[in-house]
Amino acid sequence: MTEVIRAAVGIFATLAPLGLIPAFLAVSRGGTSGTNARSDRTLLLAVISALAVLIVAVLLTDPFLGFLDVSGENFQAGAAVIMAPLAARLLWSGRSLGLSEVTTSRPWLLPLAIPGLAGPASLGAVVAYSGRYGEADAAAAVAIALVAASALLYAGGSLQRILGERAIGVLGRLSGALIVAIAVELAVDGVRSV
Amino acid sequence: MIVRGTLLSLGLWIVLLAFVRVAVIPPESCGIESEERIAEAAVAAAGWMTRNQNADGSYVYLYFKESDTVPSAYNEVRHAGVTMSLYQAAGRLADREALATADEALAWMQENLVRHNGWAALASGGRTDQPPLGASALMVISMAERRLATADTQYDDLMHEVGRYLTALQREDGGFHVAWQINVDAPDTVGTSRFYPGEALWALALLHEAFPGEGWDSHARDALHFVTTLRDDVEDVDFPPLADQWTAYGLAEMVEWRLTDQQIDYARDLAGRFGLLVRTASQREGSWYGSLLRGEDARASGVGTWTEGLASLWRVAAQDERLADIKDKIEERLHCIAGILADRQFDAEEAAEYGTPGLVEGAWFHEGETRMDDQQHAFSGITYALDALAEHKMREPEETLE
Repeated sequence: MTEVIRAAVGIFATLAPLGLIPAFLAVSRGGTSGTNARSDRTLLLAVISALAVLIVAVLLTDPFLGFLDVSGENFQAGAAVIMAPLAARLLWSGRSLGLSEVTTSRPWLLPLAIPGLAGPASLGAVVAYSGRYGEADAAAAVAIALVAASALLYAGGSLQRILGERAIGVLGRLSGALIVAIAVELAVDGVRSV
Repeated sequence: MIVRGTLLSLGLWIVLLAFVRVAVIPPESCGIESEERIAEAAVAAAGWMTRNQNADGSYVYLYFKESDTVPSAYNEVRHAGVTMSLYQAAGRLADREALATADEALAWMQENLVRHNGWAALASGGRTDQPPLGASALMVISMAERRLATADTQYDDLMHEVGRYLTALQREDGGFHVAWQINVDAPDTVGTSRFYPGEALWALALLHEAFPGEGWDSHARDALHFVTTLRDDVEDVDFPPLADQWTAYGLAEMVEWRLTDQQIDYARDLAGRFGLLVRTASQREGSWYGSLLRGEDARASGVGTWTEGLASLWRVAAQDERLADIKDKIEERLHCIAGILADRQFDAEEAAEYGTPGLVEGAWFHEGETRMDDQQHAFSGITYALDALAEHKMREPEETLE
């Protein structure tokens, strides 16, 4: 159970929902007013799509690592590097997606689900945790992390209203710092493991 | 605009992933897979050690294949180590030639003993006034291996005598002085050694196994406490724990005595250290850029010690539930590194191209030279790795030689 929670925290960090709130609000409502049916549908579709992508990543971990000829322990160090651009972007701007990136015909898929939620960082984390704890634990962790992330996104409008845009930006930056911590932990664990 | 941005973003990701692939996670490769062929490498290594003994019982210490020369250097610590491996070959491979060779080498050690204050210590060359702890520890281990391989007790008194040198050097904190200065009749309190404490630890544990109830276990426990709590600090190890296979052997010997949680944690960290070294070695094997980035190959004596260490920790994991979760992973690494060793060994066909094929066949070379402990550590590592892969939990051979 500890392993599932540890993996869920790591995956949640790489989903970086706080950095997605501005983009999610822009897509769902074109603004920051209260929730409505459109935003619920957008969130649901985005989360289901991301869940599907991340679960496929869990299931493909072994063949993927076999294809690369890389052990799970060594991959963890690689995953840590893959997380770096997202962490840097969050630390710099507090956002994982720019508002100019959300003007597609199916924004719940592109860019909210992919790469917003299921991006290189979260995919790397999912493969790393799947290699470390096994598929079942990693799949459970993905589900927990996505539920938590969707709850934050659902409450995004209210959060922005209560805390203000600047506070959300600060929290987004903090989530970048959290990704750095998770990346370091993954890399160190990879180095210290058999 | 959006398409351009997406393409740019995609391009940057491709560059990053390529960088990660090349610099962080190059492919891993594990050499020979067949356990049968890996076992043949161990036999060939034992053959090298058996074949290359001098008339006085010492071994060929160093050999340069290109110039076909044997320098005159020697080291009694490594002499004792090679003898230990030959007794392991006698026990594990029922190799009577190895037994005879090791007995000659043991006679050499007996001729180079220094006796003082009721103990005996192995020393040669210019070190007879300060016998190094490590040589005596490995001599005890050699005799213990002989006892396990043959059930012959003729060296029991000598084991006690040399064992007393180890306890004479043990400090209150469980660590060891590196030598006794005979001319002033006091221990050398200045010198330190990274590996002597582990060697002495294992020797003391084997003395207890051979002679239970005589108090050797208390010395071994103190030594294990020192090694697992203080040694890495005393020796200023940059990335602890020190990759010390002797400590791993000691842990494996003492696992039935019940290790503390702290010692189990140390064993886990040590397995991680060896595992990292193996993974790095396999990345060197996997691609040209892996080889470029991970530096040159370690010599076989080094790779062999990692294998010995992991194989010993496999025994700990196989017998202590607290490490059961890493047992399979250790097996994976052992198979890999034993395969790499077997792949790098010079076979008869390659040896035929050199001036003295008998000094090349079954050996491992590093920058054109082989040293006797290359064969020693590679042999012991491969032998115990194969034991682990065969789920043979006890280090003792199944049958003894008469």
